[in-house]
Amino acid sequence: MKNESTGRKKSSSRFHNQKSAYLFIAPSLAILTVFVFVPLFGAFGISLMNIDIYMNDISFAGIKNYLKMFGDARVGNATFHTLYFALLEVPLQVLVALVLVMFMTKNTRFHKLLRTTFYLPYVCSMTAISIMWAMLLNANYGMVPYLLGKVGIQMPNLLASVDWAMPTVILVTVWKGFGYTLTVLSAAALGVSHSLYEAAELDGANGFQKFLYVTIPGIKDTIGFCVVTTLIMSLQVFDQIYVMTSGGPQNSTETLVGYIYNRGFQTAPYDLGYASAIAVYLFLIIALITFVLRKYAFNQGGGEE
Amino acid sequence: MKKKTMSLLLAASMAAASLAGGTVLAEESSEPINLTVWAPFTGTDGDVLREIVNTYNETNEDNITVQLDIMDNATLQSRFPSAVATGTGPSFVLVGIEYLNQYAENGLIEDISDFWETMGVDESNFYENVLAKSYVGDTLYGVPMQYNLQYLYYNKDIIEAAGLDPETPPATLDELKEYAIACTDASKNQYGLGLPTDSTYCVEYLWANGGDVISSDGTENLLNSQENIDTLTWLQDLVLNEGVSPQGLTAVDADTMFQAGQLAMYTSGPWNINGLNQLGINYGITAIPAGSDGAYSPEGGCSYMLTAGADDATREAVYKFMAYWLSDGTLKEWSNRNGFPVWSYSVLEDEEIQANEILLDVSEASEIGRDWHLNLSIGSRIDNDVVIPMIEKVLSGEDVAACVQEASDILDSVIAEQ
Repeated sequence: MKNESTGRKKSSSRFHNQKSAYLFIAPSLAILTVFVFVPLFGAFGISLMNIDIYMNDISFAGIKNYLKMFGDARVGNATFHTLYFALLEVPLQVLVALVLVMFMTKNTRFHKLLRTTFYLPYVCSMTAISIMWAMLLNANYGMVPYLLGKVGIQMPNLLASVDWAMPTVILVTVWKGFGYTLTVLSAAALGVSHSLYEAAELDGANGFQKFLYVTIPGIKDTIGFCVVTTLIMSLQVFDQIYVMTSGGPQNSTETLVGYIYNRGFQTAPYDLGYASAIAVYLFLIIALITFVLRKYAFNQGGGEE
Repeated sequence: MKKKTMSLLLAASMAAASLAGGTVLAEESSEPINLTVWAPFTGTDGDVLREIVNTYNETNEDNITVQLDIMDNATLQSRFPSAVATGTGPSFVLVGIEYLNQYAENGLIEDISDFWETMGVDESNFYENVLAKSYVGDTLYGVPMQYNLQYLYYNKDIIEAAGLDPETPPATLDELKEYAIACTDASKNQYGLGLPTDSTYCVEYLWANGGDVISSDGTENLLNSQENIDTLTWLQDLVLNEGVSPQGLTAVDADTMFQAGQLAMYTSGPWNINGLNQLGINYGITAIPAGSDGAYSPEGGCSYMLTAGADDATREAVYKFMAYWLSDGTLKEWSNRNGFPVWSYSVLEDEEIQANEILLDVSEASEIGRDWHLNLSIGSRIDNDVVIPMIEKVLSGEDVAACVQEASDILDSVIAEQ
């Protein structure tokens, strides 16, 4: 009896503590529910319907939209370009940031100035940056081809070329985003204990070796965080492609989000059911890749057990 | 007594006057009505439209205020259906006539067949073919705002410098090729003819030589024909072998290059006239050149449409604005400043209109209009999934017959799905 009473007291106290915790997370949970969970389940529900943008004649479609998706060559094409973009953009962005971090491990005024400068494009609108680069690189009236032409270099029409359009969009995205990764990694690198560097110096390590064997292992978790967040964003790439190439030329830059927008809002019959099926497919790709990366590549999410 | 009677009379007359005055006052300060209109006029013509709307707001005696909300067409098209469904749409929209049929079919806009009678506007004062675009069967769903085709723009200075007569623009496809080659000078980054890869202008060339894409009722695929293959081969040759157009050109690039004097000729709608006039470019406008079958140009235009669910007061106020647009003064200002062809008989007789050289050229070039899937619900699929990918591949050098076959197969599936 005594034990039971004590247990009840403990449980009541735990409930009281948990109640406070639940109250603290309630606002975030409400926002997540309205803007994440409901649209997520909503999209899954819509993907099982025959429904267009006008919301007339709605009917149950079962898995028809999913079957149609697997027979649609443009979904395969868009999947390829989405992965192409992500697999090139993410390592490049993290690598550029890492290389620069190597030269900015101190908190001097000059390093702070460099970090601020590199961070500037990140705070600008992706649409504005995409318009700016599309104009700068335009083969007919752009500044870059004009200046290169003055010194005898003929630049290809990058954004109109099937081979060059996607690498160009990737480079512009890296240019815009590496400042953010750099800032996060720099902050982590500054937190690595000085004693480790001193010990490495005593062992005769040079600057590069210190970076490779002290800094990188010290910021491994932060690199993992950067890779995962950048990857999720790059798998949802849309703005820069919509503005710079509209998915062309010849669908060579069409990604899954671009194709979802095209089917749902751009081209008749504005098939929201089909667009939602592709959105669910993209969600599964992102979930799977994120899970694998966190579980195996960066040993996060319960890896300590 | 006399005084008393006089004062009574005075008081009575003052009371009567004040009552009468009160009535007049009440009429003048009738309930204000605020209307919103969405329009995709993002170019310089949007500035003129805004001025006209502002003038209406300042001068109308019905206490109506129209708030013009300009947005790009893609945004408007994705927002409008859901806005109507949730009751947050505008009072009326101003959109391309290619949307009228699907809007009407899906209940997004109101039947306004009583417009002519209610407003006392004479329907016979306007070109029948223009009005017809706003009807679905016998039901009126829109009031035309403008009508246009595609035209051939040519830079007179470049043509003259190439040793050709700037007052005699090309009238046939053979002459067009001759002019385009003569005006091309790669060393100056100057091209003879703009052939973009992201628009459907190529139907003008296909039609000119007797080809077509789809039957007007949308049931028959006409794409895979020898006429089309020959015309597309001719266009491919112009770009790849003669180099008259930059490769991978977009329609926006073509506008910019023509404005910068880097392009001698290209086809476009009249919405560029205002900007070209402001830039002081020495240019001319003529009809799309003729091929072996004749000259044709795809019809286009915009109409005002009343959003579904409008109450009586909103309907009445929107009708008043539509009638204002159809008045001679407004139509004349719109055509004069933007170069859009006149489609009102009374405006056509106006002296100022008769003295506007560009406008007369445009009006003359507007007699070869042809329907380009305006009433087909699969119109945007024909553009985005069939014609644009086909012209993109043809102008990048792929085998023409294979491109046409592939596009034709896609068109078959689009027709089957509708």
